[in-house]
Amino acid sequence: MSERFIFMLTFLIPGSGQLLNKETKKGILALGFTVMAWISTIFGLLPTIMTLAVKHTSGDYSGTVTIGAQEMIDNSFYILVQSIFSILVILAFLIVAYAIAIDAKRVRRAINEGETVLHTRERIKAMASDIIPHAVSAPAFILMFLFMIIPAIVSIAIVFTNYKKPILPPAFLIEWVGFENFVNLFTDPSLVAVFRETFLWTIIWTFSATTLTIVLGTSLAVLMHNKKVKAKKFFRTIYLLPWAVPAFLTILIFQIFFSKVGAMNTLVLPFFTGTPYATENAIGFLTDPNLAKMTIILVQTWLGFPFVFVLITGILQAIPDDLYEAASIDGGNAWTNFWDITFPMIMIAAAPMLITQYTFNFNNVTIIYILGASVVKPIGATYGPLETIASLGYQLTLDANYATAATFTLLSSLVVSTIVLISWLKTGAFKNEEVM
Amino acid sequence: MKKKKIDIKLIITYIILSVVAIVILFPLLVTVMSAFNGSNTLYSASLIPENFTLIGNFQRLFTETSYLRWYFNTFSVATITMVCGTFVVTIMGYVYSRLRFKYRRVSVLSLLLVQIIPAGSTLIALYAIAQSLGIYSSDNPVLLTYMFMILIYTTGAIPMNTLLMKGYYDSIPRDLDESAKIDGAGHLQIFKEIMLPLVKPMISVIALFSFMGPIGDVIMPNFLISSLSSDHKTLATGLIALIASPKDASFNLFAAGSILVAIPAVLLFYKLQRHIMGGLTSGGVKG
Amino acid sequence: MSQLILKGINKKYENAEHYSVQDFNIEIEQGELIVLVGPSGCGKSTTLRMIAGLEDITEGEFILDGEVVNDKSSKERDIAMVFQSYALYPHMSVEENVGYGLKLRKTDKQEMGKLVSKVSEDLGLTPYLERKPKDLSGGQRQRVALGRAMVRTPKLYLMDEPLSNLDAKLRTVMRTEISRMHREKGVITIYVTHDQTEAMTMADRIVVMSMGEVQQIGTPRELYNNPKNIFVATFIGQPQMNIVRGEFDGQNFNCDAFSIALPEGDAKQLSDLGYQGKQIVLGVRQQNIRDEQLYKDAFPGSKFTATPVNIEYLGDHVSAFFEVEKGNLFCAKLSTSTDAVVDTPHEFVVEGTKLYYFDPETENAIFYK
Repeated sequence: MSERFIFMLTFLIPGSGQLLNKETKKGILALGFTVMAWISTIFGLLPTIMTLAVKHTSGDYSGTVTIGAQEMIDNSFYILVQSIFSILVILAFLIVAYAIAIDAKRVRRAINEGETVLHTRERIKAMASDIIPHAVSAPAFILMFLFMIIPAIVSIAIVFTNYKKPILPPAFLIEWVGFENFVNLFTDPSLVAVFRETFLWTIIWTFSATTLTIVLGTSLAVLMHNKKVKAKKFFRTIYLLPWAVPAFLTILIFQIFFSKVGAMNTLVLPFFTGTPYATENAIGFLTDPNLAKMTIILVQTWLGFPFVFVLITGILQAIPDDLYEAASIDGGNAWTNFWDITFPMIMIAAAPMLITQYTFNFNNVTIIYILGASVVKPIGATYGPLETIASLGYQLTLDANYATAATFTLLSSLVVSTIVLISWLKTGAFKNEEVM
Repeated sequence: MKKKKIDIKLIITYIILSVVAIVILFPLLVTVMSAFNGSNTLYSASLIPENFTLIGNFQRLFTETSYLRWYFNTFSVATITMVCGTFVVTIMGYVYSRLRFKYRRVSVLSLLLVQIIPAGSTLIALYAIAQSLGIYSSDNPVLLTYMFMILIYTTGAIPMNTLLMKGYYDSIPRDLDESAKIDGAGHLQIFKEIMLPLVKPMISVIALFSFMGPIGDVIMPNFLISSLSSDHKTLATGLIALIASPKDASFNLFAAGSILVAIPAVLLFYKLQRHIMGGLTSGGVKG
Repeated sequence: MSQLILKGINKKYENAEHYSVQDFNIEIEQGELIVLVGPSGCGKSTTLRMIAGLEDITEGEFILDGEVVNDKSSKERDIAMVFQSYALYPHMSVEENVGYGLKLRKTDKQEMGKLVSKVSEDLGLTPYLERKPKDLSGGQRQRVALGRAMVRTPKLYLMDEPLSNLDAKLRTVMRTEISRMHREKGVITIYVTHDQTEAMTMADRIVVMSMGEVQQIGTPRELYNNPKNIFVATFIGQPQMNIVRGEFDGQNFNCDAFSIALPEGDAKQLSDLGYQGKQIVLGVRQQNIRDEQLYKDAFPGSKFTATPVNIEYLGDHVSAFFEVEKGNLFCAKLSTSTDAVVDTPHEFVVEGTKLYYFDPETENAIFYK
């Protein structure tokens, strides 16, 4: 029997090749898998996948392609999720079958060439160093598969449906609509306006909040990295507080702090201006859209700088002193030293971490969800002016406007992942032996 | 003769450092003070409340709200997540750092790549998965929902922390393993007797990270447990609701509540401060 | 009685183009101290790590006491090793570090205490037993690393550049210490170093390696007096041997800088081997280039004049450097009474009895037996 024949046969009926190779135990085990895989595919997985796209020629859904055939009986969304799961499971079956077929082919080659065939037990023993690590990390990968990969694929699929209020299963069937949601984003006048505004503000927010955070964190670290400064421990302890206190608490604290009856209005402003607090004069730091935008950027800076501060301090401590001594002998002063030595060193060491700061703020929903709530909305608008693409995606999800939400999220994910991937490629994270 | 010169640059440095310190401390101080404010308003013309009460707000917090339940809910979720996450990450970090096996690069790379998926994008599907598993229609939706959340948090903590942990393991010289091997130790003994004691600092940092994650999360509970009753909220959702409730000024209650959350968090953070810095610069900066 | 045989050992790393170690053969008898020496990257550490069981052996057999142990783990091979980095466990005290191997081998508590305290005594570590490695000086750490190996009596001791992190003075002390302990234990010891002085002073036999290949195996005396090729000749012996390429005309050796008559016996042998009129490489040790009248009278044919470009006064002797071809400086070790002056032509003489000849193509010694 040729290796090729064995391979093809085993791929179709995993286990058959092993039996032909006279590896009975292994063959029976693999046949068991075959039976299990075929039964679950035919009776469980395939029927689900079949209902993933049903074309209607009559009735309410005439001319559309829906998920599931009958409302109230089929829940379109469950079918969608289950189908995606099923497809992935079938893929996994195929991979296992392929592996079994390869194994049969290799044994057959050994037989054909008259080599001694290792017994299964010996082979397993030889492969233990490959099997154990995979067995140990398998639970984690299964979890990631269930709670990250599948959900991500589902939300990509939703982009191509009309799944949003009021079309909620099981009362309605979800329809496949192709690229309609994307097209709407650029043609539907109300959406276009929202999208443009949100996009612009997202860029401003991400860029200014993160840059301010980095500048503040770095400046403080550099200022403090000076032998003459005493009480470093004291300052450092205080500077870590914004990181140590859970962020949602501090955001809520600032929500109160900047409210019309908050300490900013009642204590800080009177202290600087001399005019006592009066309700009618109180400034709405979080209600006026423009003020609120500035406030939220400053609050995020307050929240985020300790991380950068710690990171940069660590890097500064690692720069050897003699570098500065050499530069001083070469005629450098504090200013040129910073730009010629400190700054480039920081950029090399911290660039990847700093880029994640940008993506973090791009995706930062919590602060906008909490602080953006009290901003005065323009007349007729459903969503406040502080919404970013990410937070709007979240709000739309909360409001069951799933298809639009998924479209927004997919767009923002694409932007973020592109930036992250480029930064990894640039910094060589993929090639780095340390990472790998 | 050398005259003692006044170092203007140094003075400016101190001024800047102090101003930043005040800006950080002030809002926190205001919050602490209002936790001891006995009157029912937030408004106070001075920092020290006129109507000082030491335990009044805490008493009300415990009796008038479900605060203690929130506290219990949140810390249970956080603790279980921490234990599971840290356990998995500690072992996986060792496997990826020390063992050489087929598809190791692929595994590590996929850990790096899954981090690109933003948590927000998975919400809809997670909700659907929860529903199709029948969590909300089961006899014990609360417990199941929380278990579901623990699984999500644990999963979320794995990729980045595994890479951080691996980085830390990588910083331990391989000579130590080899030396132990020659001394007669097996893989399990090397892991238990040589590696574990040495990565303890990083383990504590990862424990802290995976503990604080669930405590501070607003996004997931807001979505997954919105249908559950007030008793079953987490601290984050509970405290947000507390402030948002328009009828009574619950600011002082909120302040009292947030102090009780912040204190353990801050204490833990400072205890592990040194390790956090070490962990960031050993594993993080490189990757 | 221990005996260690390496038979045709090869090592090729996955994805590597070249062999790291090629066809390594040696038989080592009970109590020998073998030094593997060579420049970095020559495969000496890889060989040691294969013996230790830390690297797989690609081809060949590793036989310990008559048993092939290729597939045995480090633990089963019963060896002890001293690492270049010392590899002390940072979280264990000196006592625990020294005793760890015994503990893992389930040695009786009392027995263990006795062994640890004896080794600590020998190495002067007793006052530091409670300390952690980070509280020790470099020399003390080195002693702990040594103690960790010496506390057991395995079949083999392996040492991977154990002294390279010490200063020159301590190195000399520890060299003696290791030699003494080796004699006491009488266990086969394989010692890796890039320092030929260590090799010469400690070894029973030296294995010189380069580019993954064994160049020569022999006692220090054999290697010094009878080097197999240019590599061994220039690597072994301090100071380094001078070599220069030139033409052999049947009687004289002619190169750009000088022309000297070769001893009659040598010249005849070279001619017999067919080197007449061909290029050869001449090797002269530094102490064999002189300038005293006595030597000039003794070897009148091998006098020549060269201009020193640098003269170093070293207390017991003077080193004079002159260029024989572009980029190739000869060094002559002269007595302190010399009158050689920089940039002034000076007459030297080569002691004709101690010359080495190499084939320029194969780089092998022409007279090697």
